[in-house]
Amino acid sequence: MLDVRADFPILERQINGKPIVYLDSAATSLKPRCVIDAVTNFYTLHTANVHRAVHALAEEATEQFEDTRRVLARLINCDENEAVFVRGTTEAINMVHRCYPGLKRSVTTAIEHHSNLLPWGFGPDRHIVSVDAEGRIDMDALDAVLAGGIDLVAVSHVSNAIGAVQPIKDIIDRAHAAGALVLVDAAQSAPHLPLDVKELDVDFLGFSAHKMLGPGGIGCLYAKAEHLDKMSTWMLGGHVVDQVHREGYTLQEVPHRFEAGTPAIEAVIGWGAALRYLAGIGLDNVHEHDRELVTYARNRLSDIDHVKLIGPTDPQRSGSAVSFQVDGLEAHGVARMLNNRENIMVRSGFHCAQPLHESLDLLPTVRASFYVYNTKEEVDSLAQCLEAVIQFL
Amino acid sequence: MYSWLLQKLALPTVSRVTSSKFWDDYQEMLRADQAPLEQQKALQWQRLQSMLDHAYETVPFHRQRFDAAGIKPSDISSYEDLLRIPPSTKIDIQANFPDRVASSIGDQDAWRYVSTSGTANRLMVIQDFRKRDMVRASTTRSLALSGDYAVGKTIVEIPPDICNIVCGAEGESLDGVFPQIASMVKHRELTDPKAISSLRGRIERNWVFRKKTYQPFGPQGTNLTEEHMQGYVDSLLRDRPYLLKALPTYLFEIARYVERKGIEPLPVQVIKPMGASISPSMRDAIERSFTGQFREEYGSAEFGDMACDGPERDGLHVFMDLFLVEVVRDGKHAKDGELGRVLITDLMNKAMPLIRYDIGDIARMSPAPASAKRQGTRLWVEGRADDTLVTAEGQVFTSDKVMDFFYKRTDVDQFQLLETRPGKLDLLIVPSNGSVRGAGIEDELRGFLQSEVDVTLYEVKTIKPEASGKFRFVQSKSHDRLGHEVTHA
Ligand SMILES: Cc1ncc(COP(=O)(O)O)c(C=O)c1O
Repeated sequence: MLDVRADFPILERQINGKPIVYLDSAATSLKPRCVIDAVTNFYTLHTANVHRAVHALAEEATEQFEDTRRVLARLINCDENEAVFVRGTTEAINMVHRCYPGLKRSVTTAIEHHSNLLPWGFGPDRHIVSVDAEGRIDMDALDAVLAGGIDLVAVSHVSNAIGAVQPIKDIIDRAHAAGALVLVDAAQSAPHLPLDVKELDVDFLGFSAHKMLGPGGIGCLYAKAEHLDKMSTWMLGGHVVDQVHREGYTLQEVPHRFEAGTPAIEAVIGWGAALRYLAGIGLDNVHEHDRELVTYARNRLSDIDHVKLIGPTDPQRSGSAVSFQVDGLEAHGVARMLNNRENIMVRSGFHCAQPLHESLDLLPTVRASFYVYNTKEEVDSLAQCLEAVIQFL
Repeated sequence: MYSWLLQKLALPTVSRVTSSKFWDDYQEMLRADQAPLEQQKALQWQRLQSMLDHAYETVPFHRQRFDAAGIKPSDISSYEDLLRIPPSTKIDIQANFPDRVASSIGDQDAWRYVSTSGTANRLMVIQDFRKRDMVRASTTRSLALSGDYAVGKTIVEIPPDICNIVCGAEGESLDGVFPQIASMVKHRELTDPKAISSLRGRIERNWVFRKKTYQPFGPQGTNLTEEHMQGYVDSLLRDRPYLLKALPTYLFEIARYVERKGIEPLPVQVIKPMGASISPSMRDAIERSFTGQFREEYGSAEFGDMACDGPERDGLHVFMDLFLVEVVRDGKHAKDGELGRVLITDLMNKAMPLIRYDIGDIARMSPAPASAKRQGTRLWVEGRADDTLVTAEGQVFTSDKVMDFFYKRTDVDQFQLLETRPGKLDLLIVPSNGSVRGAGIEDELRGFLQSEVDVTLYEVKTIKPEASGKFRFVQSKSHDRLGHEVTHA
């Protein structure tokens, strides 16, 4: 197990005289001191716009900004020019939808986050492949849809609602064999697993900094260079163009042409610190840590009467979240009791994946999600608090 | 005819064949309200003592607090003695919910959780079926006290906007009798007491009480489109309900729309607030736009109805058979008519006793009987404690008072007064027409508050509700100056 709690200042906070137990990292992660420092340091010493001026501060800012792109590219094994800064996963997905030509026939799955469902629309050319109670995609159904001719498969690597991990490499291979491109929503996997876009041979991949120890408002769209070359720009403005004349303009190089306007510079720089921090721990170790916690949590919770675990039973197939229901209590009620009694912060509801709940006939669930700073003791607090509440039903 | 049949036959019969004592309770409550004060007090005190004993014996939270204060239930023998019991707050209760605040005895199959969904603001409680029956009977009592209500007359409700579907709250849906039966069949729950209770709730709601629910205003706030407002008017003209119960802001906006458009007063006999208190000028505007009368009521989802006024309009008469209400200031009972914080003791809910619970409201109280007919303690609620401004000079302005200041002005359609720190106010105004800049509102507000507060004026198009769907027209940062009655456990 990792031991990094001292790096996270917020964990020193108490509410009503008790420490906080943060089990909602699938929504957003806590931030380590080095990220907070990187952001403050930028404001304190380096404030300037990027890519614009020749003065010292601007050069420092640009250098730090582009450094994040380098760290990012190394982390997922892509070329620097294939990493486009966007606001987050949602924007990455929408950008592919808007800017890549010819994505008419698409297929998604019933387990997607709303941000990987809504952009693809609801027409006759849009297919949704079902999943089973453990979140496994129906591969036969996927093959059947692919056989009918598909331009793009859009699928999440790890489900935010029930933590199911998809066999993403297998899906990509099947899609490619059928002539389809693949977009992977990596919002819940990039923070927790080593990802190698070359090995996966994925076409598009999107993820958000705020779920991986970084600041809000920034994320990445990885796209193969050949795809980026074909994509149109959806916003015009500063930094998009190379030359502007009265008659027209020429576009900047990729990826800059996709980054219109002044970006969230401090967020990018903070993200750089987060990525270095994660690389320092090693994503293999992060993955190991999460898996141990999830396994421990599933075992611990499955011993409690009235608690019904939802999602994958195989630890190899589960991400870093455990979802459950309590017989006789609403999910929101459970979440509020955990919060009110012991400052245990979990999510409750449909987790932006309502079609999943509908297709599996699931009521809202409670979700505890883990990350590098969580401990088995915190899982014990969760279990004990649930026991105290449930003993009462 | 429908009413008559229900009243004379259906309800007493239902009451007979199910475990619900609704009808008997209801009759008894009507008698309790008309009883002489001494008799009411005697019943209240007897129930209080039984509740204190029960709480001490079976609820760890209360026992601990009594022990910490060095008292036993038997030490409480007068109204003054109550001051020795430390008040409890939402934080205390929720930090111990459910096991340590609920009774260790009782039939847990006959309990239900209330207010577990919705926003984090609401208190979660457990009620036993006895309390639930009392809540239902008491709702009918306040209807009866409102005028000439008879069971079966149409009731329309416009509750505050709370997200439920998208946010994934199941809520306590009370729609549809048939869907509930279908669901009971599907899930093989035909003998499940909770499912039966829910079915009974639905039958009561849809068939006995004939309740209809209109859509709330929604997140856009106070200023809806004409089309939308006309929709409410048309619906009310169609349904012609006996009772319209809605968030006060909704009532007020509908009333002013009616007035603005020169529409004939709407045919509703009784109008009641839901979820918040109402200021005198709002009440006047509402009565101008409806044929009937406005009736005040004090209650909450967690407690049920606690008090209501009657045609005499002499304050909210506390239901002394079900509650003991105190108004306290600086650790003492407030004097007759003095403002203070409201503490509630629920005399009925044995599943989860609430004793001297600080509900967060500010009110005045008078123990003096109003009339020979209704002699109980009376209450005038003036808003939420958190919405109360206290000036540097120590003057207290409840949200009701502030609302009246603004609603009396013809140039102001809506307002919101946000104290960003004590003495510093952002004033948001939706002008009635044109602009209110340069009209001197800032100075008048300073005059009204008799304090040199710093006011910044902004003109806006609408005032938005909080996540709970309710509106907070005054948000105070100075309410701490009121002095806390309560120390957190
Ligand atoms: C699986 C998944 N996809 C997409 C998103 C959207 O990410 P963002 O809000 O950062 O754009 C989330 C965030 O909850 C997610 O969990």
